[in-house]
Amino acid sequence: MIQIVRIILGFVLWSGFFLLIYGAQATGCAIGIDPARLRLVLIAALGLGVVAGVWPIVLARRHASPLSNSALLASYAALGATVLVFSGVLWMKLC
Amino acid sequence: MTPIRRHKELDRIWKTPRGWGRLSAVNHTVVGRRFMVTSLVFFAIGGLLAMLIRTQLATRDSAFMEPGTYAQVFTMHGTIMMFLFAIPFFEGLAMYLLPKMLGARDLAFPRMSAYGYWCYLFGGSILIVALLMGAAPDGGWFMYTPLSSSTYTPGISADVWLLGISFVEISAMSAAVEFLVSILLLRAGGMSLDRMPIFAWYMLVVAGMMLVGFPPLILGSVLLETERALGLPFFDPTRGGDPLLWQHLFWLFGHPEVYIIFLPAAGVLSTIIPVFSSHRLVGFRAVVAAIVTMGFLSFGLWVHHMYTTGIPHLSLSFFSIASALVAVPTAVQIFAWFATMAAGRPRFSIPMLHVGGFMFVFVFGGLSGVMLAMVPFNSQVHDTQFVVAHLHYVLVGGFIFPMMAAAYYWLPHMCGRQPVQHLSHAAFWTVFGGFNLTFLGMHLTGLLGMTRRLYSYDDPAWEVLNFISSMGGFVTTIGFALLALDLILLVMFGKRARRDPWGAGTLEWATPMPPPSYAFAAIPVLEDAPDGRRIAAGQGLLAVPRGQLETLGVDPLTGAPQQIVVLPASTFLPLWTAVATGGIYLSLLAKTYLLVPPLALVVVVLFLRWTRSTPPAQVLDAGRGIRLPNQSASGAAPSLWAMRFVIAGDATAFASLLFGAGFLAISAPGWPPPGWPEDSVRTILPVAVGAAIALLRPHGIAAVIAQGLILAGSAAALWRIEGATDHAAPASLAAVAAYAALHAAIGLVIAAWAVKRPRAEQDISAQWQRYAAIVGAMSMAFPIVLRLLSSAAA
Amino acid sequence: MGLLGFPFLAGCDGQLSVLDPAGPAAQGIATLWWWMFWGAAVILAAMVTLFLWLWLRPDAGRSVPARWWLVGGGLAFPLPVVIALTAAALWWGDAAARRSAPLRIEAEARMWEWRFRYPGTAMADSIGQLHLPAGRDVEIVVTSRDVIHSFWIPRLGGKIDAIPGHVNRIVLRADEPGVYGGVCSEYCGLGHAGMTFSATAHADWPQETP
Repeated sequence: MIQIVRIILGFVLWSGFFLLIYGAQATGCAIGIDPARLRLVLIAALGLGVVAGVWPIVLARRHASPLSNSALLASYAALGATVLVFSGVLWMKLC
Repeated sequence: MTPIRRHKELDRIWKTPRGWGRLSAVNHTVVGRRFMVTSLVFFAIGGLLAMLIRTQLATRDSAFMEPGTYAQVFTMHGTIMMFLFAIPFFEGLAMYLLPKMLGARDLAFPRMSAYGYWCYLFGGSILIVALLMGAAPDGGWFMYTPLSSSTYTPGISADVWLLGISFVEISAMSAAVEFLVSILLLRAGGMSLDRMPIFAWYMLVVAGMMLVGFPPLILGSVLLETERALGLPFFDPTRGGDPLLWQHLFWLFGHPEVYIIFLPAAGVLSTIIPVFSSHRLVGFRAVVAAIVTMGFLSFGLWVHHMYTTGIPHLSLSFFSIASALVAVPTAVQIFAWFATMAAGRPRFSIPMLHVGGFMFVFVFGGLSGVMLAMVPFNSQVHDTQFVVAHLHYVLVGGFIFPMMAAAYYWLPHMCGRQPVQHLSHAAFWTVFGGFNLTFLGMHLTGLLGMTRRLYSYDDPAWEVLNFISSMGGFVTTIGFALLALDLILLVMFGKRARRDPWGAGTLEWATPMPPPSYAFAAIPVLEDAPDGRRIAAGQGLLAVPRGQLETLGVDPLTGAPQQIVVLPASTFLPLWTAVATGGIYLSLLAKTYLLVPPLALVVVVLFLRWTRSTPPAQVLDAGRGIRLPNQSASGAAPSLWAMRFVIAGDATAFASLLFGAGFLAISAPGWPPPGWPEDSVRTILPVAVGAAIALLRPHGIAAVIAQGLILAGSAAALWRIEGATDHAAPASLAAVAAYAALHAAIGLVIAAWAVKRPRAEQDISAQWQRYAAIVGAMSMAFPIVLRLLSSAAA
Repeated sequence: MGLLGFPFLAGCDGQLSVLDPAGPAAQGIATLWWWMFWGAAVILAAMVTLFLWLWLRPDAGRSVPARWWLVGGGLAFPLPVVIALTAAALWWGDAAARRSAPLRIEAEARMWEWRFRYPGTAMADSIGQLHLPAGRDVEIVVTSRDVIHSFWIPRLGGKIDAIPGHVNRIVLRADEPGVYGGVCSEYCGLGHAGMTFSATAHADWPQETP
C-alpha cells in the first residue's frame, strides 16, 4: 500500500500547498494584510512547497519497487507543477 | 470435473433468475450492460434536445420555441449529456470490463452496483418526467445562483435538478468506492499492480477522482436545496451569502468531471491502440505517472470557469498555469500511443478509424482548451459559442469517439458476434463530417460575439454560420442513427466470433463469448500464462464450485492470493432500498417532509438487512493446495477498505462545507453577522466527552454511548442556533452542527448494530466511530474559527 | 495576416466581433488570438500528419527510440510552448490588472437592462446606452441588482461579471469615436437575449468635477 501512496505523495503535497497558498492569498487580500508582508508569506510557502516536494523524489529513489519508476516520474511532475503553478507570487500584483 | 459440469454448477450458483427475477440482478455483466443501455437511451433524448436547439438557431429571429422552452431544452441537454449519459456510460463499461480484465468473477459489492443503477434510473426518470411536464430546470446546466434560487426560480424546476442529480450521484459515489476496492483487492492470482492492465490503472485514478470530486457538488446541491426549501441563505448576497460560493463548489466538481469523463476514454485508447499495433504499450510507467498527474492537476483548474468573476489576477494565475500544464501529461499519453504505433505494425480496423477521429477532434479541442486557459483570451470568449464549440470538441473527441471505438472493439465480447462492416465506414464518416461541420464554424460564431444560450439573434453574419452548424447537427444525427443501425445489425446478424478475435491478450478475452454469469471457470493465476482453454478446464484457483459465489482477494500491491471473497447472490434488496430512497427524494420534491423520517427508517432497516449475508469466518481450500481465509476471517475485508474510502469521500464533503463557510466569512457581503450564538458548556461538553470515548474505545457499547453523547450535544447546538434564515453565518453553523449530528446518528446506528457482530465487523464500525468523533469535535471548534475569520476580515 | 484564414470575414460590420478590435485591450487579445490560432493550426496539422504517417506506413518511425517519443513529444515539445504562452498571457494580464483610470462610470445590471451613471460628470444617467470619451481609459464599475449578468463590449475588451453583492471593475478604452455593441453574456433568465446595450465613444467629453 505504501508504494501506491508514494506515487501520489508528491501531488498530495502539491494539493496541500495549492490550498495553503491560494487560501493565504485570498484571505490575506480579504483581511487587508500589508502587501509586502503577504508576498513574503506566500514566497515562504512556495519555498516550503519546493523543499517538501523534494522528499517524495528522495523516497522514490531510495526504495526500489515495481512502481518506483512511476512514483519518481510523478514526484518530478509534482515538483515541477509546484514551481510553475505558484510562480506568480514572485512577481504579480497580489490582490 | 469436466468443463461442462463445472460450467453447469457455476452457472447455477451465479446466474441471474429469469422473468421478474431479472429485477434482482446484481451481476456486474448484467448491471454493467444495463447502465450502458440506459445511458444510451438518455443520449438519444439529449441528442433530440440538441436537434431542437439547432432548429431554433438555424435562422434569425426564429419563432420555433419560446425563450422559456428553449431554456429548459438547453439546460436539459447539458444535464442529460453530462450526468445521465457520459458518467453512467463509462461506469457501465468499467463495471462490465473491470472484473473480467482483472480476472475476478464480479466486483466487490454487486448489490451496490445494482442499488446505484436503480438510483440512477429513478433519478434520471424524475428529470425526464419533469421535462415532459414542462417543469424541467431552466437555469443552465450549472445552475448558477441567484438565478436558480427561489426568488428568481420559484416552482419545482430547480428542485428537480438539485434532488434528481443528487439522487443520480449516489450511483457515481457507490461506483467510485466499488471500483477502488475491486481494483485494489479483487484480481487474478499474482497480478501485481505493475502487471495490471492499463485500463484498470486509469479507472483506479478515475475512481479516486470521483470519490473526492463529487462530494463538493452533492454538498453544494444540498446547501442550495436547503436555501430553496428552508430559507438558509448560503448563496443570497442580501443575507450574508455569496453566489460565488456556488460557483466554487460546482466547478470544484465540474472541472475534475471533465477529466473523469476523459480518462476512461483514454484508458480505452491505451488498451486498443497497442492491440491494433501488435505491440505492448510503450512507456507504461510514464503513462501511469501521467494519469496520476492529470488526476491531481484537474483539481487545480476549477477557477478557469470563473476568470471573469473579479477574482484577483494572481489567484487566476495559479489556475491558468495549472490548466495549461495539463497539456503535458496529455501529450505524454498521446506520444506513448505514437511510440507504440511506431514500434509495432499498426493495422486498419474500424476501432482504429475512431481512434483517428479522436486524434483530430480531441487534439483540436485540447488546443482551443489551452487558448481558453489564457486569462485575457478567456475574458473575451468566455460564455460565447467559442466555448460551446470547444467543450463539444473535447467531450465528443475525448469521449464519444473513443467510446465508439470501444463499442466496435468490445461488442464481439458482449454478444459473441463479429462486426459486419457494411455501414461502419459510412457511419464513422457521417458522424465525423457532421460533427466538424457543426462545431468548427461555431468557434468563429463565438469570436463574432455570439454568446451562448441565446434563443434568438438578428445578426446576418451569425445566421450563415448558425445555419451551417444546424445542417451539420442534422448530418451528425444521421451518422449516429447509422452507427446505431450498424451496431444493432452486428448484435443480431454478425457471424459468430472466435475467442479473442483481435489478438488482444488481456484477460477479458479469456472468458467465453458472450461471457457466462461467473465469467471465469477458474480464477486465473498469472504465472500459468492463462488462456481461455486452460481456464475453462479449471486451471487456476477456486475452480471447484462450493455452492457459494466466490472470487479471489489479493494483496493490493503484489497480487498474492490473500483471501476468498464470498459475494452475495441475486436479491431484490437493492431494488427495494432504491425505491425507498426514491421515496425520500420524491417527498422532498413534493415538500411532504413528514414522510421523510419513516422512509429514512425504512432505508436504514433495509441496508442493515444487507449485512445478513456476511459469511461466518472460515478458512477454505482455494485449490492448488492453497488454503485461504474468507473475508470475515482475513482481517482485510473489502468492506473494511470500502469504509475507509467512504470516509475519505465524506471528509471531502465536510471539508467543502468548512471551506464554504470560511469563504463566506472572508468574501461575502454583510459579514460579520449581527450576533453570534453564545458558546455553551452544555453543548460542548457532551460532544467533547463523546468524541474522546469514541476515539479511545470505538468498539462495543462504549461506541454507542459515545455517539449518543455527540448526537445529543450537536443536536443541542443546532437547537440553540437562532436566525438561521436571517444570515448565512448562523446558517453555516447550523449546517456544520447538523452535519455532526447526522454523522453521530449514523455512528449510533452502526455502533448499536455492531455490538453483537463478530470482531471483523466491529472493526469496520470502529472506523466510522472515530471519524464521526473527529467530525463532532471539529464542528464544536468551528464556530470559534469562523468568528475569528469573520472579525479579521471585517 | 489573420484574415487570410477567414476571407469572408472582411466584409461584415463586426458590431460585436472580437476580431475587429477598437481599443487597446481588445487589440492585445486579438493579437494573442492570432498567434495562438496559427500556432494551434501548425500543431494540429503536425499531430494529425504524424498519426496518419504512423498508421498508414507501418514501418514509419520504427528507428526512433521509445524514450525520444516520450521525452521529446511528451515533455520537450509541449512544456516550453505552454510556459512561453502562459507567461506572455499572464504578463499582459498583470499589466492590465495594474491599470486604473480616474474616470469611473458605474454600470448596474438588472433583469434585463443596463443602467449607467457618471459620477462627477455632467452626464445624465442613461439606460441601455453607455457614453464614454474616446481615446481615454475608463474604469467601468459593474454591479448587479438581482442575478449574475456579465458586461461585455467585444470590440473594446474582455468581459466582467456583474455579481450581486460584489463590485467588479474593468478598464476599457475606445480609440476612436463611434458606436460599439455591448451585451450581457451570462445567462440571466428569459430576457437574457434582449439585454443588449450600445456604447458610444464621444470625441468631446464634459469636464469632470473632481
